[in-house]
Amino acid sequence: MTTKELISAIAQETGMRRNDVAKLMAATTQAATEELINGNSIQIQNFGLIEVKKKNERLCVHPRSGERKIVPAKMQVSFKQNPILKESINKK
Amino acid sequence: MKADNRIYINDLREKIQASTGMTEYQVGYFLSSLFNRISSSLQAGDSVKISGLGTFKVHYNQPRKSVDVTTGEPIMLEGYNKVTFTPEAGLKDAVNAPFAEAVKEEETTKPTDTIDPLVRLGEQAEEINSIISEINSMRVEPETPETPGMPETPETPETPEMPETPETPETPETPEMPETPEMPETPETPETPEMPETPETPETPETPEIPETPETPETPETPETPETPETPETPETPEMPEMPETPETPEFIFIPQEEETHKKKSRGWLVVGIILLIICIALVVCYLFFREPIKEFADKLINSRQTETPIIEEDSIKVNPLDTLNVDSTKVTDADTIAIPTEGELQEESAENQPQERIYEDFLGTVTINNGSSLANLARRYWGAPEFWVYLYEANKDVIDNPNVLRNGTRIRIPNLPPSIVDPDNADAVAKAKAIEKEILGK
Repeated sequence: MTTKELISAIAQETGMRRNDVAKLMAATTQAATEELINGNSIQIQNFGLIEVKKKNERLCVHPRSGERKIVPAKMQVSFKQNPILKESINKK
Repeated sequence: MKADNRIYINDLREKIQASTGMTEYQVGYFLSSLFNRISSSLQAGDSVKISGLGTFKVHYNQPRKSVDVTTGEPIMLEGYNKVTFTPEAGLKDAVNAPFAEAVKEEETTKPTDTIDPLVRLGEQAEEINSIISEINSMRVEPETPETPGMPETPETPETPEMPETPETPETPETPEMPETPEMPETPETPETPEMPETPETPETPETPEIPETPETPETPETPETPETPETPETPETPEMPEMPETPETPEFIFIPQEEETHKKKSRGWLVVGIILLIICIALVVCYLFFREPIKEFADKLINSRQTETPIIEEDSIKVNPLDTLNVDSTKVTDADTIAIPTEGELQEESAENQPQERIYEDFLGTVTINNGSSLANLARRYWGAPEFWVYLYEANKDVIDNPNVLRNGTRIRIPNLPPSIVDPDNADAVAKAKAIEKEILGK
């Protein structure tokens, strides 16, 4: 499902105009991105938690040449699903 | 950057309200609908891609074995679906922005890391030096007396070139590398490690101190360098001049090249060695296993040729049924010395067959060969001496191809022999058996 399909589906469901939905969608992604960049994590009820985690630098070894290298520390976006979402996904 | 700084859906809604100017109800409805849609889509197994944010996807975690922590019993964890989120490249980079800068800084300040590879290079240079010194000492001894003079003023060769060009770092490296072969002990090895730690500039102050007199002894060295080209370092020397202006980066390229070639060479030799070893082992095994069959085959060939010659002389019909017998009987008769010298071949055959029939007409019984039983064992069991296995063989030639190799399940008839022939205490009987053995094994 792409953004377009998502927008049309939401528009159908809520009865809003597609333009408005698209606008809201863009605003949502922008807001979420900003929050994430600021280091905040976004908790969404019954869905999950989107957060930024710090990965420490680590030493890795090239499997073929045996060359040792430091992988620099980095920030990563991670998602943790809510138990309710997990349940809904796993029930058949 | 606080990890606990959580934003809830209401905060997000307020933000969106502010940016779009829509009502609280609209935005709230939209958001709830949005996440409902996403979860229902995920429920259907579809992935949801939100441009600007990322992709939500369902991933199935396979069931796996585990151990119950309390009881230690192995248990099976059930597989389950999991929602994964992969951020888009834009979001990923934006989130990682502060660290990306740090990485860039690290890249610029990489020279600190260069020590490690350069130390490796130094070690390799040491190895090469030692090898080359060995080679030199083997080939040309007169060069070694020159070396003691060298260590006193090792950097002097740089000095004459130094004043000419200010870009000294290029020149000193090239002369040093050729020097290494001539300097067996280890005077240069300290130099190479010094190179990475302290740039070449500290060497330049040294140059004014030395240059006056001892230049003459060094000049002969430069002609010597052409001798070294035989040694493996020649590829390096052309590389060195390329390095000059920015000494750090070319060194980076240089190290892996040398390592790779080194490894490749060693691997190649290893592979070749292993292949040779395998071939050798295969040959030995083949020889051990097929020595007997090959012998037999060769014998058969030779015999068939021998028998063919009489075929040409005589009528083919007569000889054909007999030729196999002919082969066996000639040898046996020779061994038994009972054989009568004959004129015609037909006579010969009859004469030869006689002793066999006479000896082996009467049988004590039959024995079935099992694993591990041999003719010698049987002979010892029946007659008390393993040497008499030859009679067993002769009596059972039709079932035994090779006296050394007995097939399981072969039924062997034990001939009833007069005790005078198979008397273990009688030296003559044993000697006779041995003579027959020689004949059989010799054929």
